[in-house]
Amino acid sequence: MKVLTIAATGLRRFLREKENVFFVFIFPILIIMFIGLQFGAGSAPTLGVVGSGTPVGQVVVDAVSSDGFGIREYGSADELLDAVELRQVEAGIVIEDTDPVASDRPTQVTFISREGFGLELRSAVQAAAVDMSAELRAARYVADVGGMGAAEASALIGLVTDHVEVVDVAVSRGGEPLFEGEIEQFDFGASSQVVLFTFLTSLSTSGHLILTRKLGVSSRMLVSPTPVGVIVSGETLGRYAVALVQALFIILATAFMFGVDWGDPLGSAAVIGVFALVSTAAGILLGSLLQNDQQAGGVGVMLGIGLGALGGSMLPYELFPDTVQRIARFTPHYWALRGFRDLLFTDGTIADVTDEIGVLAAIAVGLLAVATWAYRRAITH
Amino acid sequence: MSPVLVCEGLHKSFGERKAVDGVGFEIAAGETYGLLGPNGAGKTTTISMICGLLHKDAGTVIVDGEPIEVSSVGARRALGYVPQDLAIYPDLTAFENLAFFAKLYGMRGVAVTAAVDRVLELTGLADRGKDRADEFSGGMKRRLNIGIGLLHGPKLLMLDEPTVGVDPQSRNAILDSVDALGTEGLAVLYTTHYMEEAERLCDRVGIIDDGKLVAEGTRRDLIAGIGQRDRVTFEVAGHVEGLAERLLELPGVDGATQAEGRLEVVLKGAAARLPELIAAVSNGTVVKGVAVHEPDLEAVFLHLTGKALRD
Amino acid sequence: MRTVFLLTWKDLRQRLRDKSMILMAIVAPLAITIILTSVAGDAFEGRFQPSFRVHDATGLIGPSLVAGLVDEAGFEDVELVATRQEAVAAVEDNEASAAILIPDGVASAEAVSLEVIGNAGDGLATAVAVSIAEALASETNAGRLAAAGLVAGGVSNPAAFEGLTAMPPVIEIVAGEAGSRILDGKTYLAVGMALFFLFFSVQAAVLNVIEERQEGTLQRLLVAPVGRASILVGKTLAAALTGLVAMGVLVVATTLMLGASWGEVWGVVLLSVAAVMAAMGLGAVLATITRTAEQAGQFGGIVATVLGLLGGVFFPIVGDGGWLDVLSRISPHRWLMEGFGANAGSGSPADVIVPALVVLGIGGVLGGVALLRRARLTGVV
Repeated sequence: MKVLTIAATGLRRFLREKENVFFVFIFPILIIMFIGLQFGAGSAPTLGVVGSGTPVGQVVVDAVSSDGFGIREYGSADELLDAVELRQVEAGIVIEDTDPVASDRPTQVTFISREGFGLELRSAVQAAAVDMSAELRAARYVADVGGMGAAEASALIGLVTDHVEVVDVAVSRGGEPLFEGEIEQFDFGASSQVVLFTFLTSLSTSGHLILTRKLGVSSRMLVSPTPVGVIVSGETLGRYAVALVQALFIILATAFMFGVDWGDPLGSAAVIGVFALVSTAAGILLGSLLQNDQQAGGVGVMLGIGLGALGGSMLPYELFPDTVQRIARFTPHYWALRGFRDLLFTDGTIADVTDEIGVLAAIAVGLLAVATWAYRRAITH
Repeated sequence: MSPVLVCEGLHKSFGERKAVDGVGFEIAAGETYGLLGPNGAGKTTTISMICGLLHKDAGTVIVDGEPIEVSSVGARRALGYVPQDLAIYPDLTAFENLAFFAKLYGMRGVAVTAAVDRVLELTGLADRGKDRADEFSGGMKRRLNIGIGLLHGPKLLMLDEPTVGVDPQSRNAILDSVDALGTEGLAVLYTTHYMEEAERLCDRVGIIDDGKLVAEGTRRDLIAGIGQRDRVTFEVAGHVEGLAERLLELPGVDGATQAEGRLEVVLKGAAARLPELIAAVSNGTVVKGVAVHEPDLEAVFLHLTGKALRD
Repeated sequence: MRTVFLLTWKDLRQRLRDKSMILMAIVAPLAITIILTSVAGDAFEGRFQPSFRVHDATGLIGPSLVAGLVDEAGFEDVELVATRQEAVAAVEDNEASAAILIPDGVASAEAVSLEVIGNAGDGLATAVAVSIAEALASETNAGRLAAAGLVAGGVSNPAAFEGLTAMPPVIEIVAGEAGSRILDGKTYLAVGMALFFLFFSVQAAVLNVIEERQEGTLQRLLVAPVGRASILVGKTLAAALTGLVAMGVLVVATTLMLGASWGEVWGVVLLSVAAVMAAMGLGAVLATITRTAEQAGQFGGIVATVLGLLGGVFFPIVGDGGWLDVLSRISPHRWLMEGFGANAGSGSPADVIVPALVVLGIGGVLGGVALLRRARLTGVV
């Protein structure tokens, strides 16, 4: 089979370059690991605290950390300020060391944040302060008005606490969640990067096609008793194999290394299989239209990153402004990611992603027709 | 008149391997000197030391009365160098290439334009000066490559195998222009492993092998040096193992070498001994052709080194 | 000196004619920054602006609560609605982040619950709404406790109960605003991409010397009556100018087109020079350890990518003292991002100068290593 020979040669040439091996196999895994480490684990912000040992401090720290926020202690207000400015912590508090019941003025808690940031932490601190305030304020009031000592008033409030009916807060949920289902630490990174890199590699290596033409290898193949159709299909198949090998590697590596659950195997295979075909076609088209292999590399990287970003593989498309979200629908990335969203986060099956696969398949067929026509033209003209 | 180039006792080793081992020669103004030897004989290493591209392990190089070292700057003005491979900027035009090097050699203003125009004329590129070098044909690139070496009117021009991989037509053009250069009082050092080029161009030839200069002189001197020896070439096929060794055992045979179906033998009075040679060769071997050559540099080389020039 | 400029000008002219170089040095970083900025919208800004709907069945607490949230907490979209249904519907329709519902019983002494209905897609806003509700509950509870305490303490003077609603606070949260020494979203992208590609383009410029060696033109330069030092300085200057021009264009373009704020001019210049020096040092070392331009380019690309990733040009590295934080200090990108952050924000001059010096030091050490190995470059043995 000549088609397979041409395809195998293409794959072999590709894998022989060290640079390719790094950018195709190692780099995506590094990126996924980084995303997982930076954003995956406990994305709740951290509060820096000075004075956690004070009476008020102890209660606030307990309350804020039980809300799920991180706590880091600092020795001085200056250190804390540095940490906040460098965003080592989202915000910080400096707590005054006084007894809130005995003191005749409020205990000050200084909340430090960069302008406009740390509002959620501020709320948590405020809630903690307010929560403990009920009894403290009541005790101080009783001490002031009743003319008794702080300890006596506190004891009195302690006695009545159990007999007073209190107001509490009940929480429920409504509306639609932004992301459905449970998203594990590495899941988002893994699905978005497999889409980003499969496409990126196909485009950035389109220079190979130009080089093959330049070196005269294409002419040599044309001179041999091989129909043009076979040559074009062979090159296409070889590049498709590269795309599939990379996608499969990322999927398997993330599954084993980071425990990413890729959901319904049939569904994931179908989405990535069709998406890889779209990538292949795009790469061949680029390699047929341009004349300079180095430029093809540069343009490929730009288009790959640009379309990837637009399609939601850098930042979830749910977070895009509305207009950009509409534009995103014109990228194959968007449809592949939408498919993975259903498969990975809500445990969908292939039946749930037929729309996405259909759109991708349509793009693939259209692009492939144009690309093979352009490639045939490029080698025969 | 003192010679333009004097080099003496040049030595250069790369690790254990002695690339150049005691080479020394002189070239006078207007003289074309050919350094003839097979690939790997030490020609490029010798030229690199003369240019100051390589440190010498031992020896001296004097060009136009000034010693050349890796660190010398001013003395290099007398040197013109044409590297073996194309050394031009493909993304600059022919004019820009030439003007850049002219300025690098210290020319300014109108002198630059004048020198560039002169060289464009000389190399036949006058009407292509504004085109980028990467749009040139192979021969045009070669001519530009040589032209850069001539720009600043050097005293000594070194051409390192300028015709390797050049089509016959361009090669002739190059040889013609080199031929013309010698008559203008320029000293030329020309390295090659093509015997015909050395015979055609060079006033004197130095034969280099294994880093040593094994003979030197005019073509006539060298040929006279080996006596009236002829060179016989056989085209052979079939069983050719040990053929050269067998022939060397014949009386009067001074040299024999074989490579890929080609057998060369040097001996006196070849015509008379042809039947004897053919008999010796055809023992188990098919002889497809025989030719007897008048004494030439090829025979000299074979006689002196026991090797053929061509690899 | 003249020959130095001659060489520099020759190199720069070649650079300008090299479309791949312009693509890599200017077009790619700019295009990617623009795409990512438009995709991200304000998601990168980190501003928290939830929308709340409040319904108050008592009619007593709502207005002051809403006023407090808008005026003190700085939330812009807080609305008091007439019916409970209206508040709930807003959350269900994803129009509001959370609804806070105050039941009638709050005004009496009954045990009641304040209700918070949070939008499923906005966990953070829900948490904030809960904090607000808890504060309100605490307020109410403090009054109820104090009243019970006074009764238990035998205080019968009616005047004593009058101050209950205006009980003084025991804990006061004061705002201590911090500056910011990290880059805002847009500028972060602009700086990150500029630095990432700077290392590629400067490296390519430095590695040009290998190309010249391969092409044979370097030998030609060496044979000319020009000192080796002039050649070295000329080519170095050309590489430095390439980097500085690319950086300059990117700074101006991102400022004008995207409104990125790079901060003090002297800081930008200092840090850019440091960045270029480090990139040149890296390129120079690469030039002395690799044989062919292709090899150098491939290896250089991998090194620049890993250092960029590690230095936080794609995702910010959190300065939490963890292993990644420590490891990232080997990357010049890391120091540069920090320096640019301090320069654009509220950093002191030292916060800019120290990272710049570290990066210059990295460049110096690498450059020194390359100088020691310079014989490898010219092939003079």
